[in-house]
Amino acid sequence: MPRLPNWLLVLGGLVVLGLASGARLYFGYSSFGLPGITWTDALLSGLLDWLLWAPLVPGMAWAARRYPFRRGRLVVRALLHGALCVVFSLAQLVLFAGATAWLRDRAPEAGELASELRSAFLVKFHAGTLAYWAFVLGYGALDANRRRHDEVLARTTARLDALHAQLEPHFLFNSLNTVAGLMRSDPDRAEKVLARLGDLLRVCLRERESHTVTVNEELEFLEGYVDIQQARFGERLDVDLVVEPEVREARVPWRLLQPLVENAIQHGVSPKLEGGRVEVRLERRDGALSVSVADDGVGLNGHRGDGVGLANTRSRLELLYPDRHAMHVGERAGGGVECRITLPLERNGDR
Amino acid sequence: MTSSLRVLIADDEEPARRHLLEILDAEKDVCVVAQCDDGPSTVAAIEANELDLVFLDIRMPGATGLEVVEAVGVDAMPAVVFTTAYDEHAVTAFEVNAIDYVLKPFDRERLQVALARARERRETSPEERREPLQELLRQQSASARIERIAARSGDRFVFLRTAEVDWIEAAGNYMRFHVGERDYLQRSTLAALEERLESSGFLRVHRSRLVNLERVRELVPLGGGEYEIVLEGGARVTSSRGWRESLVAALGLE
Repeated sequence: MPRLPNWLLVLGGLVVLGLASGARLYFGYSSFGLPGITWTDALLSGLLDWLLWAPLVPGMAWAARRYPFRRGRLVVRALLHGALCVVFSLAQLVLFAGATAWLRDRAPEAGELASELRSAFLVKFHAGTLAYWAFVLGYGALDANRRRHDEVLARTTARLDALHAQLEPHFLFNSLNTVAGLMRSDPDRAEKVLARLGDLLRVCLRERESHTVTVNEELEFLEGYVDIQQARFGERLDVDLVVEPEVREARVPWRLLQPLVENAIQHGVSPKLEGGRVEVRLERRDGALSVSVADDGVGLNGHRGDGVGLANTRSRLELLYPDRHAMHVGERAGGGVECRITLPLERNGDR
Repeated sequence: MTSSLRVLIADDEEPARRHLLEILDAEKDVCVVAQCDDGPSTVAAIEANELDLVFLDIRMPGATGLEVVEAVGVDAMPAVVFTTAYDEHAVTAFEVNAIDYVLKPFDRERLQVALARARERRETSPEERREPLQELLRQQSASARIERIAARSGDRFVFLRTAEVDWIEAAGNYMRFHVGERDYLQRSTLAALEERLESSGFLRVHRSRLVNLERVRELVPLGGGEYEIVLEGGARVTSSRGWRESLVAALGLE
């Protein structure tokens, strides 16, 4: 079912309230033995009363959103809404009195208006304040609920996006297929691929306190990934990790390396008939951490500039190290592509 | 008449081929004739063998599954079951065109369903089998400008950058692609190519010729609505009167 627009809901609600109050008016008149009122007059009067809240609703909705009731602020907010309640109820009274006077006499005099206002105040000011409170509390609760829902959704989406962007679904399903292929003839290897896949998924799904990990932790994740890729591609894929001992405790964004290696395999090595080699190199250079992922594959071919994986990496680095990093992707002299990233050299406790 | 199904397995990953082979080996009426691990060897194997069915991985080095179909030519293609781990677009296209595929990982049961369908399809006419594939290739090119196209040179098969092709002519059952001094063949029809390559800047100028508009260097009027078209690669191609208007319009001469 398509969602009804909010204004239609509000208007519908006001019409219902107006009709109800018209009916009450009709029966009220007869039960108190007052001179009779026709159904039409009663209903019109009820509708008029309630529909005149409509122009005020946007303002009240704004007030409810802007000043929600929150722990620690309850008293201040209640006082504020108390004041706003008087303002809005009076505004509605003015509209009501004006409209009633106008309906009775197309050009009402000031005195007529004043007496209309006075009687309206006496008869229905208390009802107006109740209407204000009911609306603000109800709307406030709905709004808070919607906000909480949106937040949870955004957080979940962000986590799934990260998983999606960095562990390609194609990789996941192919790895499962590798297990299917090895299961009967090489159960040991099948088991190993499953265990590695479990490791990867666990790391991906873990909630993180920090955006960075040590190079050692990052390498552990990368090695699990490479193990699986090697089970898939066999001799066609050769991955070399060269890491200077000095930088092993340095901090890097978590899952910095794997998307780069994935990219090199997917676009560089895997399209090449004879397969190829990926070299990952981490070292200290000019006081900074230099990360290089190079392949000897088919090259950029005018195409690859910024695959999804690389664009993702680029924007993460931008967020984590604004103005303190460099990233360059280019073709290598001997063929293939190199991605080189320079980061500030930070160790545990530096931050 | 239940002769055995002659099957080819094409997948670049050894465990994936092994998995298929294990399942197919248990089927009495299936005979796995060959296994290939990249695009070009798959094309060669399809041409060298009388096949009933190909299990064709979509992502392979050297050529995608679709490019293999293109290189072999839809007319010469045996029945195909595409295999893929995750390709949303391809799978949507398969669904739309009722083309058989299996998603990896699969089990025996699901593969048997695909085999049963392949056996059924064997009974249908070749035209009926080819139609969906033809349509698939056509849709692919309609959705995006084609940048490379599979063709053959002798017994090799190569990828031509469409931007480098000067012109194309019909030659019997084949189409001849002229790239500078060299030429390559592809099994297809002029009408199919005309449609597929339109968005890549190719224009029909003759009953049996397409010209790459971006490669046109000179246009020499020959009178009677005919032109001699001089191409970057040096070739001279004559257009015929029937296609004069579209040629002149496409080159912005009017």
